[in-house]
Amino acid sequence: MRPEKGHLTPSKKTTVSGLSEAEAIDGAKKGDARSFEVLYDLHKRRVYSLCLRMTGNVAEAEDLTQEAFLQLYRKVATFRGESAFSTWLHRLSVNVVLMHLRKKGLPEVSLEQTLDPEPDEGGPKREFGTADLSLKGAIDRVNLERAIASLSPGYRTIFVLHDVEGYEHNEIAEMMGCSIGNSKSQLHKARLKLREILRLQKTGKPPQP
Amino acid sequence: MNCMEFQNALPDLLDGGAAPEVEEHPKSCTACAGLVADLKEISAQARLLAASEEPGEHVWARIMESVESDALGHTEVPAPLRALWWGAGQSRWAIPVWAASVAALLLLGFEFNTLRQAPATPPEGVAVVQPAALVDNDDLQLLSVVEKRSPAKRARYKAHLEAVNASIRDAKRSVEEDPANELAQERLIQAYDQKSALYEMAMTRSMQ
Amino acid sequence: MASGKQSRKLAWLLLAGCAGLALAGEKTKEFKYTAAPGAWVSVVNNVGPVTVRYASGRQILIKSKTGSDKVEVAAEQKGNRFEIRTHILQPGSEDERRVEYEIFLPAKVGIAVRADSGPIRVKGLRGSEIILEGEASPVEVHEIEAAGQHLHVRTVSGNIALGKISSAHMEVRSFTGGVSLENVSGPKVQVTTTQGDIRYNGEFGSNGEYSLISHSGNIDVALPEGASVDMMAESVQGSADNDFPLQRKQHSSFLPHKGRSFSGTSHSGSSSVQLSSFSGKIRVKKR
Repeated sequence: MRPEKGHLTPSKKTTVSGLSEAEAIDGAKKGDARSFEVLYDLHKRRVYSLCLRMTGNVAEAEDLTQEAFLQLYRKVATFRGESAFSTWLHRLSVNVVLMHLRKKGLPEVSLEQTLDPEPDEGGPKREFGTADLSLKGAIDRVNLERAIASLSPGYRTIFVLHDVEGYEHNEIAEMMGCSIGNSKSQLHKARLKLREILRLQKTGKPPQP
Repeated sequence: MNCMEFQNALPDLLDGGAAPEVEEHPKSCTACAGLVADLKEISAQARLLAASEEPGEHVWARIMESVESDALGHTEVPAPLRALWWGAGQSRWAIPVWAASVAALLLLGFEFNTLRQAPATPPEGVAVVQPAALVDNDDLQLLSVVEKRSPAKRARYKAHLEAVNASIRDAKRSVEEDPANELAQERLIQAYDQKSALYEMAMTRSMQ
Repeated sequence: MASGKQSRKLAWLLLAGCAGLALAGEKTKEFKYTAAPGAWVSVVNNVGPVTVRYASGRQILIKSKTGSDKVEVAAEQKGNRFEIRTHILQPGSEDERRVEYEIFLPAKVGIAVRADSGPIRVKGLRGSEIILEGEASPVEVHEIEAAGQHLHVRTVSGNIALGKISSAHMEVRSFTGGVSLENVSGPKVQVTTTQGDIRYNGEFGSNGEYSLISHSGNIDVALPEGASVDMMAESVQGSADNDFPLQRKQHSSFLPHKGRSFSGTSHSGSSSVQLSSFSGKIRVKKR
């Protein structure tokens, strides 16, 4: 994970309950419900945001968040501290989401495929940019969220994992069972697609062919 | 370098690993420069989205419900899986020899106590209040037996029971998800065997 | 002065003598039996090492040493079974409850040991049925020619080390103890842990069935290039990495998933090897 995203040591700040994250982890390992609740409070936004973005659907995201924390509860006893807790929990959540997407039978979730998830894009198109259509300073959260939600699941997954959640390509390749090259090229296409959508939102016109 | 070539190399440029001539192109091409700027802006804005959403209050309530229902009666063997378990178990080990070992243990005084004591069942609904635990009623009885021998060991056995129950649950799920997976089946069989081994080890020592 | 030195020496000797007397509870006992075919020895101990070694001939020899008079060793013969048991007469410290056992076992005599803590060490046995159970006891079993007999080992938290064992039907279990196997082969080798790591270094020989399973422990395997195996490995939530040359199987319903599962054969695939961890890491490499 890129350093600006995760924290390498458990947060030492005390939460409302007075427990530090490290203490809550120890408590959760012993089955203490209060500690588990502390961990939920500390990490719920991260997990939920990830689920919401990867599925684009509040109900599914809530179910997956529930599932992720349930698995955390079952498995926290096995957490041995070799990685940061947040990293561990995050991976667990990504697995839950990916498993869910796989079950839904969405072929795009596996990036290891020779077929492009967007078959109409045969290859790199000539992209245009003009000064007045620059996106700099023009992307607000709502627009971006909407744009991400309208991506196809394959593009959405790769974009969320890399650009939003900060996973590296080698980590994504491992999780998705694809090659690093695949991950990179899908990410690029996802970004290009987002640019198209955002420009459309801004100008009401698609970019010139 | 023309725009097409530049755009082919663009992913590497954005990743930070492109040749110098790639970086040169946008300096003289506003179209491509605009493209690069846009893509960078998209990534930059995306970074700010992490952990920006908050789940509804009810999500926590539902999590706690699942944890509690997990804690009750989750180690029963569902009928079809039971057949799998015993059937496979029997073909795996030459029955006479294993039975002989068990018989030997019995003769040697490794009595397998039954748990037909006054059950230490918590009253209905208490499980909700306790620190959510992953053990069922049989397990609680076992733990009370362990405690009589050594209160210090109760906590350790509780942890082992929780871990083995978790392994049963995880193995069950794997089998449900992919019934044809041999490795998942084996994990489930072994998870149950682990649990009975734990029971035996806990019970036989309580006689010392 | 010479006399001063001597009297000091005497004083030390007296003190040493007293110290010897203070360990009055310490008792050694010996039991000898002649074993007929199908004989069994069972030992139940609380604290203290139990060592079992091979002895030629037909004589079973059991030596015990108690740490205090708060414990007692009782032996009972029931036909062809010899039961040796530590009885705790009064509560005491670990040192006071400690009993050491040394057992010399002829070929084809069965041995069952149950201990709470204190290592169980077994070496050199031939054709013996072996059942070892330790709670926190580390268990070591080496140089066993099992001749088709069973070797069952289980611990709750004790680590298990197994080396140079052949022709055994093995079932090995632990919860949090780690299990290591060096040059272990048999018709059947089944190792299961809940959290402990499993390490195997060997050939997976004898056309055997090998199964290394853990819930959250890691599984590390090193095998030589010439090993003939049919291998399947899967980690549901962890990772499975293979550095050993395997050929894809032609007809297999097993779907490998990069980074989480793999399967294949080497040479004629005579031994079957199943490696499975739910959340641990599986690593296979060439020795």
